[in-house]
Amino acid sequence: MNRRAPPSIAGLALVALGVLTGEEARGEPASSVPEPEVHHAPLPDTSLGFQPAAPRPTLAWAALQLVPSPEVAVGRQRHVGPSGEVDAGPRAAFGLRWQLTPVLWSFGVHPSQPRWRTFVVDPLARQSGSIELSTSFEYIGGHVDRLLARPGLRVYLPVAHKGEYLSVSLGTSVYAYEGFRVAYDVGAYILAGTLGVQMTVAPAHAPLAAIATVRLRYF
Amino acid sequence: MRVVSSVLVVSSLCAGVLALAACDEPGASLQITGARAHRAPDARVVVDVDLVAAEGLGGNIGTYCTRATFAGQVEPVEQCNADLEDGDTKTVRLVSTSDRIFAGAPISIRVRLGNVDVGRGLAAPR
Repeated sequence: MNRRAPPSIAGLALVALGVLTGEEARGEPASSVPEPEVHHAPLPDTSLGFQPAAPRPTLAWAALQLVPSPEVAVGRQRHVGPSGEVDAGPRAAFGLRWQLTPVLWSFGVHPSQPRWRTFVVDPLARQSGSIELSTSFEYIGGHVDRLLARPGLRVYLPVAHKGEYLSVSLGTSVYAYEGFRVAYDVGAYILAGTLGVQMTVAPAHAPLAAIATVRLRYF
Repeated sequence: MRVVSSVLVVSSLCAGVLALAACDEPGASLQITGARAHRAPDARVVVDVDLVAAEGLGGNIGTYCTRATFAGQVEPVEQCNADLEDGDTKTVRLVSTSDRIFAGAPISIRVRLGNVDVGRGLAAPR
């Protein structure tokens, strides 16, 4: 690394001057001129490196997953009384929903980044365009009064600024409610998907015909 | 390229949706969610049976029959209807024809829909 540099022109000139002035001839020792030490700095590393995104579950992430998304379910549940009177008015019930993403494949991230996410999904990977195997758990009170688990499939599509400003989703899910039921959902999200609105409809299931959810989600 | 991949993904989703739609159960079912008995002023026994109907495609469940068999009465009381759709609930009232059903006598309740028969037992009130 610290190679001794060849004598410089100034050094050579000083040596030549000593010879010409006869220092050697007078028997005096020649003056020792220190050779300058030159340190060569290494060339900068021009190779580009990056850290692939690999988010892992943490306590903070787990705590954030416990934050529920509030929702209102609207449906029709007709009741026929013992003397034949019919109560057929629409009913609304309040509920809470929790979401989990076992697997997501993002087609919106940079090609150098991994496309698969499991459980922990960075907002950019989801909202910039992805398809996910989703699972949600929800409790709906009122006329429903039960806990539902919904495995499903959902695609997110970016609308503005790679989905950070606005993105939408289309999805479908199944749930058990006196047999297997199928529901479809659409959603719109802002703030990198942190805040959104989802509408879930089940055309063939009157008691849970429509559910409006204010989706709160981070990672 | 991005548009093509998006279209492919949405197409895959649509295929998945169609596959899931096929999971809708077309079968109908009827369940007993509650049953109560009380005695009318004329000493006959009144039985209220709570039912909930389900039909996977949201339609009518078809004809169903609710029957109560009272110990001490020869003929059971039966009522058949076809008025329930998916998600509907109904309270069916059956009244004994006899006023000589003793307190504590067993009452058998059966609800039949198609070839499925579900039941519940009660005791006659005082």
